[in-house]
Amino acid sequence: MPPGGGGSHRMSAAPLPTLMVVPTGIGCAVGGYAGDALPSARLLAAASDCLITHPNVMNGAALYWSDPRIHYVEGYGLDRFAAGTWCLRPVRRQRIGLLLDAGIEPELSQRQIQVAEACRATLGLDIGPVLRSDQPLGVSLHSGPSGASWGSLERPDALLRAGERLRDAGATAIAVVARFPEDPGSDALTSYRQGSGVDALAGAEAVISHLLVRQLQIPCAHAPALAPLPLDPQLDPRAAAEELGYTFLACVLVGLSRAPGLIDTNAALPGDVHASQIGAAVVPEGALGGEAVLACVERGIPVISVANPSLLSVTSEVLGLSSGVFQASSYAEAAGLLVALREGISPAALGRPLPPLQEIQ
Amino acid sequence: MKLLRLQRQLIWPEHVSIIELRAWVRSELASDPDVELLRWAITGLTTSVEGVRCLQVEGVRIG
Repeated sequence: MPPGGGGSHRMSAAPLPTLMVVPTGIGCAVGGYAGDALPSARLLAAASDCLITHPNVMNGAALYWSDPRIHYVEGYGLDRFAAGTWCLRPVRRQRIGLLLDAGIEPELSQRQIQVAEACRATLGLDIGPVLRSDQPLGVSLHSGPSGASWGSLERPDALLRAGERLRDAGATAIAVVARFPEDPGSDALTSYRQGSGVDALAGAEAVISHLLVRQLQIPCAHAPALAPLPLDPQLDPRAAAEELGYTFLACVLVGLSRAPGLIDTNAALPGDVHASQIGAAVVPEGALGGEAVLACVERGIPVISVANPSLLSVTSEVLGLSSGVFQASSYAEAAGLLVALREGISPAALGRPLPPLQEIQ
Repeated sequence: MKLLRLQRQLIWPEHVSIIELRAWVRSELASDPDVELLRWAITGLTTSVEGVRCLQVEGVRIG
């Protein structure tokens, strides 16, 4: 005990596994750009001691943050985890196979490989082998009626063949780089770079990684291959991480390097993280209509609905979801609510007015 | 394998609670056994003056 008799106080409550979702391609003010929800993820990880989130939150192109309290789980795996079909198995490292779209030009391919080499040499990641798809993947971009970005592939079979070959060659995770269509002069790209638009690539990226994870049940994540853009003096800070280099790959390799294994729940072992352990889900207030969030609602898991404007307005109010939802005006407030839940403090006791107890008639 | 865009409007029946909504939407979208959902979300919800709730669902399915 220190002099003066004061005890040493530190947070001692058990970790509160928390799901953080910032859906891809819906223009969230926080997390709709280049990994700009990462500071919020770091805060929620510190509050919960166990944060499960997805690449859209963590990927900042050349920028990344590695935190052993954060589990990097691709969206398809996140949905299966929240639904209780798969659980998460923490690992020390993954061996990351690099899958390159045959549609990438040789010089741009070489840039991707050099990033992988840099991550081996400078960060000590276990990367390899490298494989090119046997046909160009043919990425196309679309947007839905809501304005959310979506996308597709002309040759999904070529993607899956390459993924299977990498897995069979010893890869336990896959980073995939696909050639995306260039549209440097478009109004949509200009708006995005200046902080007022939707990430037009994000929907197609999610489709690519979802397909691989569904097929292979190993961690996978995607980085687009694009030519460097001309300098934009009006660049928004939230989009700036994507203008630092020639590729978007470094964050994907770092994220996958310790991504948890995706295990059928009926094969779970002690130490695996299961949906029944989730203590809270933190979601933008207008994005409660995703599969992972609805699965949490099914389980009665507290949902922290954070003010984070986006294209969508699927709120707790329009869904008629009243109990088990806590509103937060920011991710800082969401972190406070997580600490309260972790410590067993009723969030209702923290606000005023405090309604009196109701007696059951 | 083909990837197909999914855009549907679904009337959310009164007897389906929010707890059952995920399973109900999946069952509505998976009416064709040869089609598998890859990615989907409820991206809008409107309620008419009569109180009829209409979900807008977007996604991608594998056909």
